[in-house]
Amino acid sequence: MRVRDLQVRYPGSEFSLEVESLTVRRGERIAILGASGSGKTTLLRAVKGLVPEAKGEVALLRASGPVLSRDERLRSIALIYQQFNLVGRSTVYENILAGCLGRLPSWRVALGLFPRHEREAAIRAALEMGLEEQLVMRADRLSGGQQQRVAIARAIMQRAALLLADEPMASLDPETGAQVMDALLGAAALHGQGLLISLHDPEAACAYANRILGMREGRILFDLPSSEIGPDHLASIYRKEEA
Amino acid sequence: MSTDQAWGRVAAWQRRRLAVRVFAAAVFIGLMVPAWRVSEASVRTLVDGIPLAADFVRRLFPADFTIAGEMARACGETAAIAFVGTVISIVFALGLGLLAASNLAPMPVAAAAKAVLSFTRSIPVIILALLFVSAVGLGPFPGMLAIAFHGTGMLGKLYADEFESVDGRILEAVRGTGAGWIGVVRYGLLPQALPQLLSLSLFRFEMNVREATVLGLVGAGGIGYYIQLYARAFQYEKVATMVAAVILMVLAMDAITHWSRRRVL
Repeated sequence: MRVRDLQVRYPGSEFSLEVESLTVRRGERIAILGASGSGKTTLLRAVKGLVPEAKGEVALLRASGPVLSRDERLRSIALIYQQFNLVGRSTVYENILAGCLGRLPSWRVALGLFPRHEREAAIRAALEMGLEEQLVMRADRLSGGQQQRVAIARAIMQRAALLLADEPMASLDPETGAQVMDALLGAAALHGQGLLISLHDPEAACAYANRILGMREGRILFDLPSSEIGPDHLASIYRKEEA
Repeated sequence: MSTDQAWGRVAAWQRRRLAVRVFAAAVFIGLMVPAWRVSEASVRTLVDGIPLAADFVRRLFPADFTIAGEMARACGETAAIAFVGTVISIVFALGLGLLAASNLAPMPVAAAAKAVLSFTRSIPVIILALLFVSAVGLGPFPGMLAIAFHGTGMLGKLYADEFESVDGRILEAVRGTGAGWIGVVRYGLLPQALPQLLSLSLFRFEMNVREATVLGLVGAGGIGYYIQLYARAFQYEKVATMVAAVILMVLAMDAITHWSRRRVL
């Protein structure tokens, strides 16, 4: 997946996001680090196609060219949200099944008729995330870690080429967060997806990712393998403006 | 657990869901069929009535605009009834709403205030208007009283719901400064609830304008009085003028309240 000349500007706001080029290959695990307000979430949402103001191109690498339309991006890029964003009143099974809505014809969606292979895929995704006990429970009855795993299963179900995750650990305690990260990494590896994760914890970022993007004020300051990240790099993104 | 077991669990849930849906459909049909009969609903009668309705509409034209002055005065009276009635109901609803909010008042007080509000809004405006006409005579005054009474019940309940949904942690913080009940209400509760209260009150005013248009049917003032007067005298071209005025006035009030609601929220 390649992103080129991505720009986001909001009228009446000083913040702007500018990314000249960003490439995510299959199987790559990239963490985005940056202070609050540095544009991590905006970058993820713009890549996914959720920011109407965004300009720029997102294309698949292997097909060498065709720029993805907004609909194609919504379908072929999955995003996992910090607050899970599940339909709380629906069951875990229904939430996961929703991951295939983008590839079903409208009449099937309207009548709720999911093909058998999709229903089986939803159950496989649930088992993969260890949710067999919770399959027919309401999503809002689950713990935070379980809800985040439902969100990952929904993303698996989407069969995306690229998996984005916005602070997937931030709403969870450290141990649950680590379990969720392991589940996320495992799923991405199993399905051969590229992974782009925003994180606020540099240590976790170095532990989980093989590449780190440092962001500050809407720009990418560095893009390095995690083994090369030192204190100077971290200082460059977190340091306060000098007077 | 194997895929088969997981599949079985989903299948069992789907069977349960189907059973619930079949039951709900049976209840719905069981109610709908007799209710359709009792309301003497008949597509045939409706279709047969179309020419009669068309005839009625035809007799509305041409509308008689010689009564424009009368029309404007009647509209003004209706709007005035709605306005004064709304303001009075806001005052009483604020007091009763504070007493009825379970996070502000002790349980028995809240329950009692809720009961009062529920009784107040259970009587339809038109029946209240009949009651007040017999008490204070014909004219706009009994209509205004009816609107104020019913509106207090409606608004008080909505205010109380709004007070109950404000963020309790903020009330706690204000109370934590040593503020008393009045301090908490004035500096913790009202700032949070005010935009919603204004919006609800504007919405109520808009509904009251509509309610006030029919009060004249029972002699409680406003434009409805003229509508029934001319309808009984078979002066349909004058009825048409009045109905047009009602439609215009309600649309105008809708536009005004819609605009002001967007301002306060």
